[in-house]
Amino acid sequence: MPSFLIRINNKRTWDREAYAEWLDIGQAPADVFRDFRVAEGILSVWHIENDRSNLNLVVAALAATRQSFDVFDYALFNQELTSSSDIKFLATAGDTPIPSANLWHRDLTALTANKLSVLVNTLFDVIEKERISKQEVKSLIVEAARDGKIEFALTNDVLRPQILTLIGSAKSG
Amino acid sequence: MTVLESQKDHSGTVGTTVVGQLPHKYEKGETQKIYTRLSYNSTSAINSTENPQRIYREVLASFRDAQDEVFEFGMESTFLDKLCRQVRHYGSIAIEAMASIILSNKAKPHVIAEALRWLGDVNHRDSHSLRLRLLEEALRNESRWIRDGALLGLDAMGDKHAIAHLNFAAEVESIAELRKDMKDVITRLVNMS
Repeated sequence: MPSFLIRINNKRTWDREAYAEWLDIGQAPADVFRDFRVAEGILSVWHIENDRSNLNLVVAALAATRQSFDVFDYALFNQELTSSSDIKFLATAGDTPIPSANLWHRDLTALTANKLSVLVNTLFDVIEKERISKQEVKSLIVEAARDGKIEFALTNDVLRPQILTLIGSAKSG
Repeated sequence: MTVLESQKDHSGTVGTTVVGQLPHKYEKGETQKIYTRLSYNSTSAINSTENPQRIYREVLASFRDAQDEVFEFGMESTFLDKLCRQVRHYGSIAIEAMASIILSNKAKPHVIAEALRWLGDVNHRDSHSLRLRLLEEALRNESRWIRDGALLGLDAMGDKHAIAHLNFAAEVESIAELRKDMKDVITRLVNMS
C-alpha cells in the first residue's frame, strides 16, 4: 500500500516517550496538531509509491520551497489509514519548483475536527518519522537541478543563488 | 551557513583575549566547571567601548523576545537575524553571552534549541572550540528539544571531536527516535573524509 508524506516541522514533537507520564495508549498529544496545517478543510499531503521510488523527488521538491539548505523532517503513513478514518483525497497539483514532483500531490478533503482527531490518534504510534540532514538535502536539490528538474523561477529568491552557485561549482569541478 | 568571517575587521575594533570569562555570574555546578575550563584566544572584532554586561543583556533580550516565535527549518527568523548581527558586531563576546544563557537555561527550550542549531552552523573560527564544547554539554540537557538542537548543531559543525560525546549521549538517551538521530549523526561524522 502506498504512503502519504506529510511535512512536519520538527520530529521531536512526535516522541511518545516525552509524553509518557500522562498520555494514554491510542491517544496523541495535542502538540502534533501544529503539523497538520489544515486550510478550508484541506490538508496537503504527497503520494509516495510503495517502493518509495518517488520519495527523494518529493523531498527535494518540498525542501526547494524553503529559503536555505537545512534539515528536513517529514512523516509517512499508510494511505489505508485515511479511508479507515473516512477521509477522502483528491489528486491536485502541488506548488513546488519541481513540476514532476507536483504530480504526486494530494489533498485530504472535507476534514472536520473529529475526523482529524481520529486520524491523528490513529497515526501517532504508527507514523514513520524521518529526518534528512542538511547535507543530504543539499545533494538532493543539486541533483534535481543538474537533471533539469527544477524550475528556477519558482524557487525562493534566497535559495536560488545558493543552488546556482553549487551547480556552477559542481560543473567547474 | 551564515558567514561572519569576512565582516569582522571593521574599523574601530580591537582584538581581545578571553580565558573562560563569563559576562555574568551564574549558578555553580558541573556546567560551570566545564565552561571555566574553556580557554581560547579571541581576535574577533569587538568595539572597545562595549561592555560585556551590556552585550549579555542585549543577547538575553533577543532570547526572551523569541519565546513566541515559531521556528521552521530552512526558513529565516527574526531571532537568528539578531544573533547574527550580534556576533558580527561583538564577536566572541556575543557567543560567550549565548553560551552563558544556554548553560543556565535562561530561555525557552525551543529558543535555545534554535540557537544551538545556528551556533553549530555559524562560520566563526575564533569561537569554534567554545561552540563545540557548548554543543557537547547541551547534549546532556534535560530538555529533548535542547539535546536535539545540540545534535543538529554538531551535525552542522562536522567536527569529529564530538563523536565520543555523541556516543555517550546516544547510550543514555531515553527517547528512541532521538537516539536513532544521534546514531545517524555519529555515522556521518565517522564517515566524514
